[in-house]
Amino acid sequence: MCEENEKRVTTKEGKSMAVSMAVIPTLRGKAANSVLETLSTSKIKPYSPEAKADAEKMINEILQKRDNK
Amino acid sequence: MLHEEKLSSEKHFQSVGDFCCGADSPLDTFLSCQAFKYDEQRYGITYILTASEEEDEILGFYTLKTSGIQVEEDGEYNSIPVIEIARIAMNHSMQGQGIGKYVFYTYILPKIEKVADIVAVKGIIAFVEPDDEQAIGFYTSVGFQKATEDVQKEIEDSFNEKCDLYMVSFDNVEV
Repeated sequence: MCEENEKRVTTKEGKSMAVSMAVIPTLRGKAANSVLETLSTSKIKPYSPEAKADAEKMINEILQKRDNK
Repeated sequence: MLHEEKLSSEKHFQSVGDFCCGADSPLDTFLSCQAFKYDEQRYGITYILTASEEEDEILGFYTLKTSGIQVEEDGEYNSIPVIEIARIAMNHSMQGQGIGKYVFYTYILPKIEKVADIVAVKGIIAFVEPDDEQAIGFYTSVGFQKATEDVQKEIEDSFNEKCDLYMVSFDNVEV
């Protein structure tokens, strides 16, 4: 099955079979500065207990529907 | 809660073929045809999510690896250590309902925090196809920012696949 799938994929899809979809060459100048800036100022957003509870409820509902089929 | 475990060629060799996140998605092919190899080669570690330890149906998966962003400033070279979310996908029935975010905060981020306690981690990166609105929405919703055009241009010239770089600092985690 894997051989069939790999033959079927287009060149674009075939390229995405590497673990990483891209590699980053050495950055200089503006590109380097912007990466350093982003990695200084960006922030992982908080995840509230309510959002987590909502997601768990959704997961349970999906799994129950699946089990009831 | 979902059950999570590392992908195992002994245990999951059949269930990987049944995973479906979208019609003819390369992510399905990656899981069924590539992920085992990359685990063995230690190029990427894949974790799968199921409803319980006893169940085989894979509801989602993600692949993590280390990476580095090389920068040169005034003749000095530095490699910024980052963790890359190389692949992430949910079963089509689980999409669009905040479950990807749940997976990020519940499973992915704690692992990165553990690693960051032991070795240096400055940020988290991911490569996203420019027309993948669902993935873009997911990454931006948790805090990732798209790298500037200066950066994207550099990647465009030496990439494996046309996609945009997204990243977020690991310094400022509020969870």
